Amino acid sequence: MPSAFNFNSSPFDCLTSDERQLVRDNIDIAYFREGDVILEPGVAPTHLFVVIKGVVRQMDGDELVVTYGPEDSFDGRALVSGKVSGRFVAAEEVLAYELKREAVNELISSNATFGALLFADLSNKLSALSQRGSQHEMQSITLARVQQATVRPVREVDATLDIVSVARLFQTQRINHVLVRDAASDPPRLGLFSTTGLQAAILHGTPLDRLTVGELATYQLVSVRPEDYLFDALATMIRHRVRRVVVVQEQRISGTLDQLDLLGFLSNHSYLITRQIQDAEDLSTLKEAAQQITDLIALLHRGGTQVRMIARLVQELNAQLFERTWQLVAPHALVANSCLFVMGSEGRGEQLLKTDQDNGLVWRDGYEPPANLAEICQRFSDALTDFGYPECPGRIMISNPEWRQSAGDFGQTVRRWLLMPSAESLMALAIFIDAHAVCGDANLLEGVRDEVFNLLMDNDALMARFAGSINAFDMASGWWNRLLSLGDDNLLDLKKAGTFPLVHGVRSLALAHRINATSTVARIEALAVAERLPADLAGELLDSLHFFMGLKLKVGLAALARGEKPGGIAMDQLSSLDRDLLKDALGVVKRFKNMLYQRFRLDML
Amino acid sequence: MTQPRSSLLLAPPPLWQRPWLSLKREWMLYHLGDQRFRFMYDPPPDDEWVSVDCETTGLNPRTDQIISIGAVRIKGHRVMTSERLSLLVKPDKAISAEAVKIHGLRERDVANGLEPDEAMRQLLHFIGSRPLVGYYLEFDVALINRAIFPMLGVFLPQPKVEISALYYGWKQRNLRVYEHGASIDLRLATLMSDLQLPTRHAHDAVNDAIMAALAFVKLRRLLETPSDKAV
Repeated sequence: MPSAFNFNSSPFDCLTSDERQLVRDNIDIAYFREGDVILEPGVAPTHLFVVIKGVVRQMDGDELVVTYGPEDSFDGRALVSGKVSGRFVAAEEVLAYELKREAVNELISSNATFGALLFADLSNKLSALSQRGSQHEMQSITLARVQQATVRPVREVDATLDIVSVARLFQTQRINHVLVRDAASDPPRLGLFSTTGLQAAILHGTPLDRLTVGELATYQLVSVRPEDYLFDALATMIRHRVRRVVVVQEQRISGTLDQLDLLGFLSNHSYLITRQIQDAEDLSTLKEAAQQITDLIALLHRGGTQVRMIARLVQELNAQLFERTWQLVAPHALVANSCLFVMGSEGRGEQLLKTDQDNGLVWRDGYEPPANLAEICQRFSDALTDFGYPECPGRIMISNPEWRQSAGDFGQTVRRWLLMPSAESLMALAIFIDAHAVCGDANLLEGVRDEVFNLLMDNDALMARFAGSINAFDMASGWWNRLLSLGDDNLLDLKKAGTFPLVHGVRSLALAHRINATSTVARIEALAVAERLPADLAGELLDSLHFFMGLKLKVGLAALARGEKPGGIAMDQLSSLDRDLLKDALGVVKRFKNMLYQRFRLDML
Repeated sequence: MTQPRSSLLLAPPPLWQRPWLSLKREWMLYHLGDQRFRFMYDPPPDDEWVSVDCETTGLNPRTDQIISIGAVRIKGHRVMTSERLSLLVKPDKAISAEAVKIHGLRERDVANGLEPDEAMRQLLHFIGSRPLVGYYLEFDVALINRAIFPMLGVFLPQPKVEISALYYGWKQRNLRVYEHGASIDLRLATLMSDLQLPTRHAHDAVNDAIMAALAFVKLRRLLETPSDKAV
């Protein structure tokens, strides 16, 4: 007893039967009337509360921080720190289980998952979750690191060795590549020579026994570290279009990682899609590849892959898809003399499921684009629409003349946005700052972007207006209340409530501190390093961002499976754990917003 | 404005009764057969109660016996489910078929139970001098008294609080005058749902004791606060 305690809700669903008995033996039931203060600062917390019926509000001063409904537990953090993190007030009559502090501590020490789920520290919760997922499913391949895959030891040969001896070595040792040490060059360098190089050697014309391996080795080594995720290694291979990377440990090459071995580890989907994209000679082949990207995402997500990694892979694949499409649609001269870029979440590499195509084109000053440029761009946009990337409702795409200009004109446009800011132009600016080149000459884009930085730098009023858009979507009544109105079919627009303020806030901070990174993750990391963000907040922001992305992905995939369009998030369909995490994440965003208010003096607007 | 505390809630005895009560206590202690149980007559700890429920071989308090006891302590607004007592008692007579249908305890289930004397000793130690709370407590108290009288020569001395009486009082207080006298449904399920309390699997001694305890905690708060006609 109480036999009625629900062990199916987080964090109690990870307990063993002995641990459950411990809970039953140490739990009481408390009753509070409306308005009773359950916990407040200065009170030594002695229990963990789990709401049975009723609603509890956590207040910070007069401000409502978060509400707790049935099956929610609080205040795990206080139990450990010994300090209550706010006033907890019964908003209506409350019945709550009280689990004794000693029991909670015992559970924490015996069950790491429980402890992690309990602390409202999001990062622990999330990693505990991914651990739990892996208990239920097979060990998730994607959490594997390079050192767990087959890292093949590599033979080192001298650069003066002739090709025939190398071929003999290949045959006797059953290897297909060697590391080439070139001591003659200054400084000494390392290269890689593989069986692929033998073709080049034969075609070289020099008698093979006199051709040294040093002449044909590749000295552009792409390297990974043993502690990198395999997934990152794969993304690296795709980006550099190599089939092998060297594993470097503390300045020493410990071996090589072959794509084949890696694919033995990961599902070989992504590689196949890449091949398909690269080899596509017409748009219909590309369309098949585009469809497979979504399948791959679903597959990886079901396999428990971290959202961060899926996003990275998807960004690489999408970039390749856009690039190949552009190459097929646009004449060679145009491709060479311009820069095609993607923006928004696609640019930041935070896009998982296909969303609107936000893209633009900038070409070199003095280059005369072909006469049928409009038609080419329209064809590109149509192709993307056909692949399942819907047209951007704000018409931010190259089929719109405003988003395809020469570098000089683009610079003018950006200056106009800045000097005569309107709500639309500030949004356009925000989107543009995240641009990420996918094809052509990336310097063209950078040139225009530097323009923005230079203008914004010393203009505090403008900076504040720019940052002020974090409130663009503020709702009159807090979504907090909606978190509890379980049962009504209110959909939470995650983008408005969580993602946008977070991303835009980070973007504004990055802009204010001249940080050139375009992805939110990189920006947060750079801001933390520059000590513009407290380290703990930075970590929580990262976790929240990834949680939002994951939740959106989860809901989106479910909607796609039902054959609907991905939309808002129905609160009542979330598990209590997701609700918990969502509350935490939204709380983090709120704290971050307060920080921005002070930083940019947004109250003055 | 605060109302006087409800008489149902065991107000401390008025001053003029105290000499009489202490005399009575001495008298009872003198008759207590087993002096190790003197603690039952100690002043009760502040703000604590014990909710008791028994399952029996049948429904006749004169002849039937206890086969399982559930008790749980109450401290202030807390139902101390972590400090609960759950005992199986071996009866020396058959359990009626009707009773088995109610609580699901067959003779073989209680065959390994405690001897009645041992069970009563544990129960009395668990209760101490705290007032008793229960739903139709009379029945349970009658059975317990019958079991302890041979041992101690006294009946349960603790004050007793009847949940259904509390509930009746609270309902009466919230009914308009012309509605008084209307019959009030005192069944446990009705009472629990009216108080918006979760019901548990009934007819398990501990669960029943916990339900009664929850109802007590809530009713106590309701009766302590000024009456409001809308509940």
